[in-house]
Amino acid sequence: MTAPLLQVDKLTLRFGGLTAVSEVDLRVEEGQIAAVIGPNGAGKTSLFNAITGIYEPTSGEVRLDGQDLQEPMLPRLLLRWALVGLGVGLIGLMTAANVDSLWAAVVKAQDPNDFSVAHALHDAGAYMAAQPRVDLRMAKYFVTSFDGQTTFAVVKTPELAATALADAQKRLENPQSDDDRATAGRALAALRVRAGAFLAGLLLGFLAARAVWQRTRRTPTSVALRGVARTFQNIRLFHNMTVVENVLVASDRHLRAQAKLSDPGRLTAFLAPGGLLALTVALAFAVRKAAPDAAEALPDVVLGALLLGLLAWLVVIVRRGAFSSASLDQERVARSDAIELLKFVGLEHRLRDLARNLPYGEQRRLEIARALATRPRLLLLDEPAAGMNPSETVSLMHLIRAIRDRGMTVLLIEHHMRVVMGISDRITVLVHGKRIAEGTPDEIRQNPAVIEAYLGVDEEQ
Amino acid sequence: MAALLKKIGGLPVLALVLLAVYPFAPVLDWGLEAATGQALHIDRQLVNIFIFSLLALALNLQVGQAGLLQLGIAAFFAIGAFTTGVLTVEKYPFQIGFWGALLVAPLAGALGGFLLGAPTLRLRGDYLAIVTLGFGEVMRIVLLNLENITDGPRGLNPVPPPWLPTPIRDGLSTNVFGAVAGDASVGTLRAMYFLALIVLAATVVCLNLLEKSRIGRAFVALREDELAASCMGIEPARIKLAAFTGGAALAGLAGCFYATNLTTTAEPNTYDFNYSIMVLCCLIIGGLGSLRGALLGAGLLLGFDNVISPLLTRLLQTALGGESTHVMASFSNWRWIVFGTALVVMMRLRPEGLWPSSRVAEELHETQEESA
Repeated sequence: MTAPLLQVDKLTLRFGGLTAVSEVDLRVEEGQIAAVIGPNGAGKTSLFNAITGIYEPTSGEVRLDGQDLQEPMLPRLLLRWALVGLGVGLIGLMTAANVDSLWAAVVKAQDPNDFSVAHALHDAGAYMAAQPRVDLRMAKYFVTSFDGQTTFAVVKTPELAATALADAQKRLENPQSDDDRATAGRALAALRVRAGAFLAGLLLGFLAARAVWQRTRRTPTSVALRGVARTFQNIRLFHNMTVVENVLVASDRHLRAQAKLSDPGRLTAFLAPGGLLALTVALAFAVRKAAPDAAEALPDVVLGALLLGLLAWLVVIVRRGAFSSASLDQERVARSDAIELLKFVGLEHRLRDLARNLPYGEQRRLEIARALATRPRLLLLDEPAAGMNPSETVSLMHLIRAIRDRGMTVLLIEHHMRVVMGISDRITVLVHGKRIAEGTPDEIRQNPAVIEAYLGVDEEQ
Repeated sequence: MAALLKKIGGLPVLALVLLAVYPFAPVLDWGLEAATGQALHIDRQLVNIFIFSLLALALNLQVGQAGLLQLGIAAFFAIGAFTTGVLTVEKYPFQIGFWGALLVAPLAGALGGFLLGAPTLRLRGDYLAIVTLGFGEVMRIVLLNLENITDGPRGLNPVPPPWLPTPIRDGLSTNVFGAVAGDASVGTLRAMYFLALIVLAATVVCLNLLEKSRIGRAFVALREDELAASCMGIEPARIKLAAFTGGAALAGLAGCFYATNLTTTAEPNTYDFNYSIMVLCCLIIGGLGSLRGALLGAGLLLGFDNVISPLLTRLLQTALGGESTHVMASFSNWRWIVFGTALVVMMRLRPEGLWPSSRVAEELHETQEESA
């Protein structure tokens, strides 16, 4: 037997002392229209909110197609958290080691016109290890302890500085005087602080990243991306966007999926300017190093290439709409899809109107169209018939059936018994957050517990 | 083609007009000087306005488009300026020149924006405002105290002018009246004028495309109803981070131009809270969330500061007779009062700004109706 499309197991939702939903089980088979009914305050909307990730359930599971809607724990997440930790740790390390002195010891210690990267790296290593260092100040080389508190020697040439540095290192390895012992002690203490800062940052970053992940394992977005779309009891359209734009917002998920970097046009658009500029910098750096005289003529060539490249880039952007993150063609397809959907729900005459100017019934339809645009497998409708007149209600019933016939599964909350009994395959009844009955419309109609809950009135008609 | 033009918007036309205006700047200057007795240097003012417009557009992306109240834009501007300084001045070995810095400064700004945004963008409006305000002040004080790197209160200088091909460079140092012999600053000023204008125009085109794209729609949807948007598969954290990082990158770019135009990074105290608020004022006066509004606001504010304010000072001085040193006699001491009053009046009479985008104006009036 295959798993049902939606399976809710023992879902409980508590707000402080109030239990809104209590150990509710719910199964919706693929291709069905299922309904949740119950008196006001029975926890129906809370159940929807828990399924769609707006509320985090206190306990219980929600499975779609047999798979938990929570993002599963994967080994690569550890790597991601570790990277965040590493970043925070490095910031901690740089703070503890004083990036300003590091700069002085690495960059300023050398003549800017005769700069050696290897030498700088070596200096950086020595500085980070709290070894003695050389500062170039006012054309003199100062050989000092790592923190600048002890000056070992002041000399005039880099060669003498190197010798003095080696001497200082030897002195600190076998400290003879109290001063040297104090300096070596300070170096050790500084190293401990640095290591501590790095480790603390590492741990903090790792734990923080993990905590954020824990809290976002199931978000409205991730649930929507898994194929569950919904409408809201109190209509939540984007009021100042047009009807078409409302639908386009929801279909953007597919635009993004299509607009992968593999598209050569996009790749060029993103890499060309960066690559070109990087090449310029590298070239300028190399030429300045190799032949200072040639540097004068270089800009002419480079700038020519640069301007041509930028021009080509602009053309690419405009041609392919690369900045819209989807090419103009994809945008056009999305637009025609949106219009097709709006025809399906009967709003084709309203395309350019602002959503808030629509009458109530049409706003409900627009919400359904917007949800459909995410191409869901399961559509949750929260009181779609609320506030509709009888003829609108009938056409809504046709619409819901048509949605089902398109291959989607529908789960709805509704108070209109005519709608519920007319279109549902299965009905679940909630009272005070508990499930008191589940069955076909006929079974529910005759269930004594349900009749009691509704004060003996089984249908409004 | 018409659709394409509509997509790009009408602002590039403005850029073309500004390109055409340039040769007449000396004539305009001459005319205005004759009329007001004050040398205005239209071209110099326009360069400042272009750079400030870039910064206003950066903030507009964050505050106007994505709805993130950010009060520390000056920090990212400073990051761009000081990155440019460190990478180009003679005292450091990098010396990659303006063109290299043009690439690296936005990247540095983006990195700063990402590092600040990634942990904080989950905060709601007021909290984010406080965090960014704090970041702005922290960045200023950090720059002030990293004396070995930034030279503290002196700032890094001289930042070299951009390399240009010899024919262009020589061409730029002449004007319609002939060669300006030996005055290299004329060539640099012109180079900056055209470069800043081109970059500004390209930025406007890109932002315009962005506004009409998938991401632009997501911005509007998130501003209107974040919950509904996230239920439609839009990731709020991701979109906001993209806007914040993008805005920070653009501010870094503006910083690169600023330092190059000024030939110094200026002292870190330049990039203080007042500066961030000035940029925000531009947006509020011009119209939050509207590109043309941001440009208009930048033009008005800098125009007031650099053109009208000196003129009024001169008038005041004349009225008070001679070279009065009294504090009231200098109009620049009045400017905060004028800005403040202008903002209050704007908020009361036209909260959507002078030239708003129609959508933002609708949103604003809707919330007003609700609260009324």
